[in-house]
Amino acid sequence: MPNRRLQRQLIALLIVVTLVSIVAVGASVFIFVRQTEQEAWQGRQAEAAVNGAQRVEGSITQSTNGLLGLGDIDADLVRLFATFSPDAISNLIERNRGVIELLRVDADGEILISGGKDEPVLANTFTIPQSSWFLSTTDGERYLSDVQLTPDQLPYAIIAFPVNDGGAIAARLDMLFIWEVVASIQFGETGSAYVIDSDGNIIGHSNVDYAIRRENIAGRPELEAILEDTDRRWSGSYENFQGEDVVGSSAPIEGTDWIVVTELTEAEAFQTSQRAIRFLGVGALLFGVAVTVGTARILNTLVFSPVASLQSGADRIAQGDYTHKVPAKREDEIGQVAHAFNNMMTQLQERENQLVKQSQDLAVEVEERKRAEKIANQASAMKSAFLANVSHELRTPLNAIIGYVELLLLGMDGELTDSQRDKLTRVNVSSLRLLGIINDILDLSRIEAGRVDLVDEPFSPRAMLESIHKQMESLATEKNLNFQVQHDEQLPEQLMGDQKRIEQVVVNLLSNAFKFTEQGSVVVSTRVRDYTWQLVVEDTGIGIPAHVRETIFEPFRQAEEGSRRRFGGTGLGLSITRDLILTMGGNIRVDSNGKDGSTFVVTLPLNTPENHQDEPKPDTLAVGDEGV
Amino acid sequence: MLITACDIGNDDSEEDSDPTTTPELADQLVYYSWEEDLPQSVMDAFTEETGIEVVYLTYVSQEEAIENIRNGETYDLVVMGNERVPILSRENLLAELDYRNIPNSRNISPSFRNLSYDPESKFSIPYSWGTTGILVRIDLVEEEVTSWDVLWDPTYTGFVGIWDDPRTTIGIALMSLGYSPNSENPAELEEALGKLQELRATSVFLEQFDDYTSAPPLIDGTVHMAIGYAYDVLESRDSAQIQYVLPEEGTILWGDNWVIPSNAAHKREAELFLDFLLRPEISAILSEETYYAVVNTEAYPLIDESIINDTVIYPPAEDMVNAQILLPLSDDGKALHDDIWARFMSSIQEEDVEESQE
Repeated sequence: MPNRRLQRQLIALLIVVTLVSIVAVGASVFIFVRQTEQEAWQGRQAEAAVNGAQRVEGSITQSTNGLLGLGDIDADLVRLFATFSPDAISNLIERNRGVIELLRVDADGEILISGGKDEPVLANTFTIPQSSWFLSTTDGERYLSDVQLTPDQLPYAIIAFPVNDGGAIAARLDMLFIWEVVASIQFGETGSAYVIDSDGNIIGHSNVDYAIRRENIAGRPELEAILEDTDRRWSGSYENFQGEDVVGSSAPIEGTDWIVVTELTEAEAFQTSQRAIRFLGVGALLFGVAVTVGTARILNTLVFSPVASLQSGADRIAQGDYTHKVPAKREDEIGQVAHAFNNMMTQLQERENQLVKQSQDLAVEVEERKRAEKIANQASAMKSAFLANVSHELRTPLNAIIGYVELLLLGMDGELTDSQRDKLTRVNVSSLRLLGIINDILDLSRIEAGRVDLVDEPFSPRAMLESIHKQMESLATEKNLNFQVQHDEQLPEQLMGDQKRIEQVVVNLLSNAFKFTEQGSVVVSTRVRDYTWQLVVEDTGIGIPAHVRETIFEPFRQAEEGSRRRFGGTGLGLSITRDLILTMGGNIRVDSNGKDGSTFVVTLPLNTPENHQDEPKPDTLAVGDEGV
Repeated sequence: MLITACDIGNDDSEEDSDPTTTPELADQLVYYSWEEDLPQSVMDAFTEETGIEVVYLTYVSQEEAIENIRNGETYDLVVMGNERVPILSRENLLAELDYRNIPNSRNISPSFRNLSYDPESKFSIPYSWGTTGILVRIDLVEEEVTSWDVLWDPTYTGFVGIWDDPRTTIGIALMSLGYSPNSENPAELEEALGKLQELRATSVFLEQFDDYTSAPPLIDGTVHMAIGYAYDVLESRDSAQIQYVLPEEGTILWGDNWVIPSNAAHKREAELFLDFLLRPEISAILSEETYYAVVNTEAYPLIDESIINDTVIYPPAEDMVNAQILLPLSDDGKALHDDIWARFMSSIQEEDVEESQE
């Protein structure tokens, strides 16, 4: 299953970017529409509020203008009217729809004339001189009371005008009439208006209960803002008394401290923007889906499909198919990648072909070498076997020769002449030498044929060397040489190994040393080095030139051709020594500057009886070219 | 379109459906007034209905009450005279009433709405009111008394009782001269002082007989006429032939109001109690038990006829034409009044000294 993480991420990013763009654009459009709409509504509402205020003011003025004439008439004349034409004032009241009761008082607050459509209220008060309306008019001001209720809950307001003679005209305004005016202020579908006084009391509302309950805007901070506004022109959003979210505006009623408030439900006020947001929402959704799907398609065609074919190409390469070519017809980046990919595949294929060829060649070579090695090994084995057989076959007659010669020398067949004894002695010596040579060859061939059986037993290296010293001391004495054995203090008392073979090695090296040393000393010493121990044989003999040091361990070699004649020996000693040491897991090296004597150092693994069990057989020290 | 007047007037008395009712009410409120100024039965009825106990605290004078309010003592409902309401409201010691909680305020007579001591009725609800007049022993005074002037009549020298009450007595002197009892005009007050010094010749102070009522000296004939109130009439008229005259120059109206101090702990409960007290049937009980006139016109049909028709308690409107309300004086005016009264009192003492020397 191909991993589509990148594709998913890109699509997700695309969706996010598209959504953010759509939301941003949508929000901007919405806010713009909303603001425009709000400005429009605020304007229209403020207009409605002003219009309503004018209508209320107009109706008050209209209701009371007709009454003002009463102030122009002399007080005494008014009294006469009251006496002789009581209907006059009734007619005056009838003509003014908003007025329920009317009275004219003199400067002392005494009623000159009064009349009304219902039970007198103002005319029945005995506190006129102390009443706010009268005291206001004596200060020369028009007075308008807050809304009063009769016990029957008929709402009225007292309006009073000063008269030139110090008296006043007072009337009760029918608030129901004013409310009708207010209620007639309508705009839009839900628009309505009401009137509040400067204390925030609702004094006129299309729902009469609000005024009768003396509802107040107190505790509604949004509306209280109206009262804080000095010119009473305000607009804002709030929850109205019916619990609806509304936008409202206010305007003052001239000549009063009343205020008209117009309200419109937010639902209506923001109808257009609500519709816009719905339209925008659906549009944006469709647009978003279209953009996302379209872009995903394009991305798929341009990027993901080519990438997928690159991927499948790579997969086929991984499975070993180099012949597959990725489509690379296009000239764009993807096309270039495909080209590069195909080039890479061609090169990979060539490289693969070369590798196959090389590995075939190598296999042939290995095969050949194996055969050659086999042949060589067979030859070597045959040689060793041959040598062993030959030596054996040679030793038998030779032993017979030596035996019979010794019998003759012992005088078994009678006394021998000096000439005969001399000749027989030579034959004996030569035979013995030949037997030594044959024994050496037999040894060597045994070792090379791998037929040497090493024993692994505890032995004392000190005792071994002391014994050798005793045996060979005579050779030193013969040549008047200093012969010493030196022991390393750290050398353990007991070591594991094949004492006989080690003895053979030491004797061989000492024999060589005595052979090539005419004066001075021969020293054999031991040293302990980490996990090995060394047998060192030093002499002050002729030394070994540097150019032959590499070959002295090869069979039938001595330092110089001439030396064999001079010093004797088969030239097999060092070769046997070296092969023995290697077989024991050790090595041998020679230090010599060519004239100040030679130093042979034999290094053997340090195996004591104590650690013997744990130690693997130490055959890793042998680093020597075996030679054939 | 509009609801008609009949619809609006439908529900008459019960105001339980108050829009601003809050679920939790305190279990008591503190009422502060004169001794025996509110019938216990009314308080009990309120407690029974609402569970709110009315704690009744009393004062001896309203000056004392004002002083306590100023000192931060807390009361929820205080009875306060007309002329003292603006003293408190000017000092912001009164709370504005929330009329949403007092729908029965529509029962208050138009005569007691928006009056000068509380021009928009923002702080006070009128409780009781009454007149100041002349009590006359008609068996001892032959002429028909119609004017304050009778107090100065030499015929009755030594038999006229007045109170050591500066505002009322100076007010009467001012009214007998045709001036307002609330005058702060120095010339008018000088003139009134002259009238007062004349009055001294004919009158005696009633406090020497009884601290609270003019009834005893009237009953035993020590005085033949006295400045007094409806209460004095009720105390004396069964024992003597007493007529209560409201002089034609105008009576001096007194009035007590309920106010809520701005530091009240239970304003809402106080308003609830006010609305209760303004129920017609409760106002009727108040009038019947205290013999005060109440302002609740809706209560009038329910009040016992012997009281509602008693012109001493409920004087006819024609007698009230020139009624005057005592208003608070400005600081300067108060100084003038105090000065006039001091000079009046010292002239009395001088006379007393002269008398004792003679």
